[in-house]
Amino acid sequence: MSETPVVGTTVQPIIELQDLKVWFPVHGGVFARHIADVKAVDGISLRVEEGETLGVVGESGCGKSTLGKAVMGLVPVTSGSIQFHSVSGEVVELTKLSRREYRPYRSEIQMVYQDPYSSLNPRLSVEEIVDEPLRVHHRSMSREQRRIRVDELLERVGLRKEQAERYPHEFSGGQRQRIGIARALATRPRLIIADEPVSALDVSIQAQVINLMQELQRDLGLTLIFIAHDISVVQHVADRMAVMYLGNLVEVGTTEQIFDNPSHPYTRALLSAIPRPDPELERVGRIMLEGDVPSPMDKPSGCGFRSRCPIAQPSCAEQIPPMESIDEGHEVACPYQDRYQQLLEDRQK
Amino acid sequence: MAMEPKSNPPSGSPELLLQIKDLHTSFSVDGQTARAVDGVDFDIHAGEVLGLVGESGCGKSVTALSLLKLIPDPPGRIEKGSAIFKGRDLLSLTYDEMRVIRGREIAMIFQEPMTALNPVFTIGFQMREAIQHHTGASKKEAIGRSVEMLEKVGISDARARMLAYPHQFSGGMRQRVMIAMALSLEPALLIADEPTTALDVTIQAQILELMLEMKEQQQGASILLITHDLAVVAETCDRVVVMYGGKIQEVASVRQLFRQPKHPYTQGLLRSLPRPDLDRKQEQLETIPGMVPNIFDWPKGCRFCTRCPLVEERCRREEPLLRRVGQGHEVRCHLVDEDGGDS
Repeated sequence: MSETPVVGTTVQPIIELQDLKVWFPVHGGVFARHIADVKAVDGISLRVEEGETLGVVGESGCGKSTLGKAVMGLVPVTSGSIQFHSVSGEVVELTKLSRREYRPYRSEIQMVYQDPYSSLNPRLSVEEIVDEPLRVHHRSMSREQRRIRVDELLERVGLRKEQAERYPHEFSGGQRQRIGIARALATRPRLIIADEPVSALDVSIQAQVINLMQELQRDLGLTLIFIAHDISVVQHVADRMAVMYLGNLVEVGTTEQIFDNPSHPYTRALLSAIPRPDPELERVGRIMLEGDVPSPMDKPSGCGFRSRCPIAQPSCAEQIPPMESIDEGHEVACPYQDRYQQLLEDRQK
Repeated sequence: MAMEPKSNPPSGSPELLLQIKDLHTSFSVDGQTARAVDGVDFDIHAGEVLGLVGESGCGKSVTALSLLKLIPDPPGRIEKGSAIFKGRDLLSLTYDEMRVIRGREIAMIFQEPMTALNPVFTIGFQMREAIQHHTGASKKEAIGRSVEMLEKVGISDARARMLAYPHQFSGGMRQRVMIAMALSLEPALLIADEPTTALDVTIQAQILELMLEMKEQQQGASILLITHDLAVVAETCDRVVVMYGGKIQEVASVRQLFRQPKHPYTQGLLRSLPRPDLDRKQEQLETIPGMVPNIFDWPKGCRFCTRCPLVEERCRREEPLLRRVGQGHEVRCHLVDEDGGDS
């Protein structure tokens, strides 16, 4: 990633990824030999700043969830680095830590999951669910102190104290997601990774949960990595966006830069495919991509997008194109992006 | 390429394809009765794309399944109502009579195509069998027709792909196969229940365009599109039926619905969508407070009264009727005036 100095340098990074790779080996044949790798994350460099909301978008199989899990230490990292700037000021290389060594930092990094039905233990009451991270990470807290904190958290996310003794099945999807958020907030984290936090919810409930997350982020100064496939939602919440395709970043920029000037051919197609709730909107220039996303086990050589790219060139097969800065803070991994229109016209002739 | 523009509904009185009257479908669970569909009336005109929208549990899918008599009984039961299709009441047909209609006259595609395809038979076998069963075509003719349909929905190398099994296809490809199967018998009505919900946005755009294209090729064919996604409705439908709590709350042309939603529920739904394309820095999304009422215990009066920002005493006591408020526009709300000037 290029070393663009950030204006008004009070901005501190909270987490920095350098050439991160997460490959899952695939075994097969009689002797269960290693036959291939699923390259879920395939060389990602990214810097997340303290207090910002970074939206990570991409379609299924692009590696966005694996990216979140890698930061959480939930999947083994193949290579590369994840540097976390801890509250104490030290810079920790998360990929070098064992599970036990990771534990002190886990209270600073928490996760909110997509499915509020399977991510809460059905045998625990709401109080026990929210209390659990406190028991693990804040051993010095007394029972009474924890009880007060749990009540505080439930109130914070819009649940009533009386509901603490109930069990997850007694709640609706939106309320369960609130419980998941309360649990994530229990240890006073600085970074929250939200993996599709609203995609299992109904539209009217989605808006409630999005507002809650934004409010919490503002009030508590949280940094939020918001992973989602719904680009309209990400556009609403994110300050900056990272667009992924088949394990690689293809474009990073502020939300305005991405929407005003989408530059990677994939970003262009992705944004143009978003349906908008306006029947009178003139649909001009929707880019229809051919075919499907290839399997991450069988990525095309070079640029992963070239098999569907409307302006693919022979040289795209040679190497994974590096991210290049086209504007301050706006980076694109396509050497041909500035000649998009011309190449498209040439192709149509 | 731009998505196919919505075909203008023909002026004058449109030809009726299906007329649903007073449909009631309920489910009995542990001695309790859930009135999932609780008195639904609407028409589907020939040649239109009708959207049936609402959130989970509103009764939209149960309505569609009732039309095809696909409600598992027990626990489900179609209590009463009629669905007149080409002069016959679908709900009073016998199992065998319904089998002839299903697939041939009315086809259905689902959210997850894998559940509708049989994993142990090849795609080609399943397609050809359906065609042979319904048309009495020879094996050779049926294979030819299958290949032709697969090519139409954009599956390359169709003849070879006929030998593939469903798991060898991606989600988008399976949905293409489902569309090819559904349309191979040129049904008059295609019911699509959340056909693109499980798909990525670039694939969703392909599938919706394909559905509209295929409909255009077949004179007078209609689509009933069931979805929770208002953006998909805006882009594909001619008319919209909005359901909440087992009842229809609003019926309108797609333009009327998005420009002048009348029911407080429809208004709330539209306002709760993130619209950064209109207003970049919306601080907060508007929300509909509370949650969907319990299906075993609908509120008295208006179904939406527990969450409605405009609720009055009358709304909790007396159930509003679905009333006409303008040309092709109906609303179930006490607080909306009848708009006489519009008719």
